[in-house]
Amino acid sequence: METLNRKQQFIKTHLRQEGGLPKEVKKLLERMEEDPRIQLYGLSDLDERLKFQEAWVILTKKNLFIVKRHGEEERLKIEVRVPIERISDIKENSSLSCSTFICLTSNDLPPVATWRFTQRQKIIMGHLKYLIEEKIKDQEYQVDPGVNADEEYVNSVLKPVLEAQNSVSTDKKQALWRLLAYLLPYKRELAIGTAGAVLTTAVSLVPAYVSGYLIDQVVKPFQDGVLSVNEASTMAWILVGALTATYVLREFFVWLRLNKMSILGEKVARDLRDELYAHLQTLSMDFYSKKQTGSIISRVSSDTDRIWDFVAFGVVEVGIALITLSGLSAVLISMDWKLGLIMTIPVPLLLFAIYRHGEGMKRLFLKAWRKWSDLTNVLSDTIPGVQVVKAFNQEEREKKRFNDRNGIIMEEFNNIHQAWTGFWPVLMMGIHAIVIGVWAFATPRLIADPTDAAYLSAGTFVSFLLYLTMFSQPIEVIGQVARMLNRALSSAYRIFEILDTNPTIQNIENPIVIEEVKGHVQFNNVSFSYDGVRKILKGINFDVKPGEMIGLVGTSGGGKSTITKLIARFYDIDGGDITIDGHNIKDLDLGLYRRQVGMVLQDPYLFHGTILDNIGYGVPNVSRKEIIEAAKIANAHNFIGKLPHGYDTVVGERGHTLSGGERQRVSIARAILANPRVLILDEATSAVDTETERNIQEALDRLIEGRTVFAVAHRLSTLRKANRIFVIDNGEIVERGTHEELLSKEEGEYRKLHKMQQEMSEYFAL
Amino acid sequence: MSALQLVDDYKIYMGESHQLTFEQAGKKTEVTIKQCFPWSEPMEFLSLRDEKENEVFLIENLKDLDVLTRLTVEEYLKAAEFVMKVEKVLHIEEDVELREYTVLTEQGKRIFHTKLEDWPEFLPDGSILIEDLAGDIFKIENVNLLDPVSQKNLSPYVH
Repeated sequence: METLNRKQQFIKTHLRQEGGLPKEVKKLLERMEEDPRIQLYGLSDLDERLKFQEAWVILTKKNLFIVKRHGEEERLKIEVRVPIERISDIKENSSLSCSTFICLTSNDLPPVATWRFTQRQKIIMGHLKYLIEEKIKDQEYQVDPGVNADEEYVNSVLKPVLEAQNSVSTDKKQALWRLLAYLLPYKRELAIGTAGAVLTTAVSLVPAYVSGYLIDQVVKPFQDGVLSVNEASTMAWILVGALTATYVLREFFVWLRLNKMSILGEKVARDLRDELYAHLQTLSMDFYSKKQTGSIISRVSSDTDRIWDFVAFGVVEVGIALITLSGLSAVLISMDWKLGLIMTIPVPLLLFAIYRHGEGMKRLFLKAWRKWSDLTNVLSDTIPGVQVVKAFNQEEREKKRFNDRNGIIMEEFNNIHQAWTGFWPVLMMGIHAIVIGVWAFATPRLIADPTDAAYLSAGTFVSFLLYLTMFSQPIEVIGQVARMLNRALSSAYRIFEILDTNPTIQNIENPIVIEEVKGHVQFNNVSFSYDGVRKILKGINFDVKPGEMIGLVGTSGGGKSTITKLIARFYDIDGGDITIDGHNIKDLDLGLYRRQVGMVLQDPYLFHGTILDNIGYGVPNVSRKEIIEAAKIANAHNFIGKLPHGYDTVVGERGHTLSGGERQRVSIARAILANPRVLILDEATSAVDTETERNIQEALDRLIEGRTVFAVAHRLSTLRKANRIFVIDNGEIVERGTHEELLSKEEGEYRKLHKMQQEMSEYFAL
Repeated sequence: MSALQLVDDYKIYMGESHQLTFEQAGKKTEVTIKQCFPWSEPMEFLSLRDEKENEVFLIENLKDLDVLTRLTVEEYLKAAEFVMKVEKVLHIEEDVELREYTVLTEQGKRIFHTKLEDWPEFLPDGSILIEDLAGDIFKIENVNLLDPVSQKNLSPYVH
């Protein structure tokens, strides 16, 4: 709830849009509707003149409403109320930044509802449209009971922002404390590092004081004849020794702090990476389908690195900077408050100048960064595409493009250099002016009679000047740490988002352990959707006996691959049940069950490593003899033997050094070795040439023997061994039977597909 | 294709159901219009697409159409080529990973976000497009005609 509120607040302040359906609208509906439960709603933010508006499109069980804010008083009024049973069609006209939905009762009558919206509302409007379409087909169709209309609205509007930056749903303080809690196991290192930092600060204050003391208590008394040469020399050497010791100590404490804190930072980053990766392994496929791979990888790599940066340098630096600043001010004012004020009052002005300069530099760097990205775009275009450049003889054109942008970059950087080289002398003049002011103020006091109340000793004055030089560093540090903290917190949000995601697929308490699955797979009225709204499978029923081979055919997006993912229990279903050997799939021990389900996919995934490692991936400690036998069955042994390094050949990232057909045969060998009882083949022979297909098909024929097989295929010829074929369309099994039975159906979908493929084969054979 | 052929061969009109309809040889098809060159030649090469987004006809130039048809198509294109035209750039804020723009458009005030690495795009006519994270497009016709504050705010991103 708290997260929902925070997200709603973000939408209001950072998107200037209502965070949810206004309460007045809910009240209006309660008065109008017998069952005012809202299934979904969205914001139509463009009116018919394409100006911004606030109009809510709301779907209840029976009606579609459009409620619009009107007039000076901005009252909400119901504009449209249409019983869904009257709607016969919903049309969509989409363009660059505006989409229009039109609800019709008949094609020759004006629409009963029309609304427009920008791309920001597109996701939630897409859900609404889907729901209306389903309700047109089936009046009783309902959204999943778990779907909360407010959450759907907020999450869909925020989705693009959340994908890019996940700081909107977490409290900053909470995230910071949680991050700092990772330091707790390393209290000792933290204590030593902090002590090093505090002592560095304390010791840093000593040299200025000692310098002043040396002048006032040694040099001047000697010059005045109060101290003899011997006395003065002895004292001076003691003080110089003290100064030396102070500097040595200071550097020791600096080393202590940097060393301990950077190692501590590495330990925290390692812990976060370990925890994150371990947690990623537990997460279900629905998590991976919602997140981009690059985004997950960057959380494990660069985000943890940013946190190291913060822990190693940020955590303690802020404290030190604050202590230094307040310590310095206190010391200066206590030594001589008038001089102290003269020196400290201009400091904010200088800081302001530095801040303004920083802002200006930021703008200049932004420009340079943008131009730099123009230049790198040329590189990333032309280096990989060099063959095309050469083939079209466009080298000169590309050279000019690069040179032009390179010249612009130089200009931008020249502007930057002009700015900073101009600023620093001016700033230094400001500092010099303070020094001169201090001198001007201090000189009459320095030469005053020592008994005069205004008298200022030379030593105190030197201490002042030395302390003045210490002012700027902590201020700079505070500026940098604020940025560092922001970056670290942003990374922490992204990491915690993953750590806080619970795996949706988990073992129940005391799961059923089946050492060897027989392969009896039943789907009983199974329905499933990836997003809770759009149903991908609608009431699927089948009973597959052990050892049967089932072909799954049909149009793309119909739900074939989804069925195979549910068999592997990558997702849990929304309705009905799936049983394996008579047990509900949710009651089985997940790890043991998955070990008995094998998959051969269209684009087989091989890991970076040797062919030996890849074939043996699912079965640790397998013998080399077994590896070779599996490779022989998979028709892979011959080609592996031709490679210079044989089974020890490193296949590179994703197996890129092998051809598609070779990768497929290695993956079949891997499946053979794992000896699964249920086998899933998802387009295993597509995108390969005929000879390779024959090799793979031969291997597959050996692989499927004695197993329950579900084979997704576009090329129907690959299903010749299937016992039965299911034709899947729009989430339903529209036909089922043997190849012959399906071909005998005059108007059958399978027959149509078969005919089409035959015609294509004949065409290409010509 | 000549204008004479165009007028004689087909009709484009708004149907009763407020759907753009293309009629040729007695066959009516509800269509949408896809501009082949939405930025460089928005009024030329307009592709009429059916429900499955297959082209049913290509209008090479809007000028070739009779007045009534042209008005119908132009009216339709108002929504089809709609992008938010920026009148003022009130503020631009750089946050972690995101850039937040606060702008005043012809439609009203709007806040939108882009990724830090996504920059405004220049069109051949010198106007500028900014696409936000949701895919909405914001157009600045001429930076030099904006007020000085807007120009200053935009300066690092467009100059």
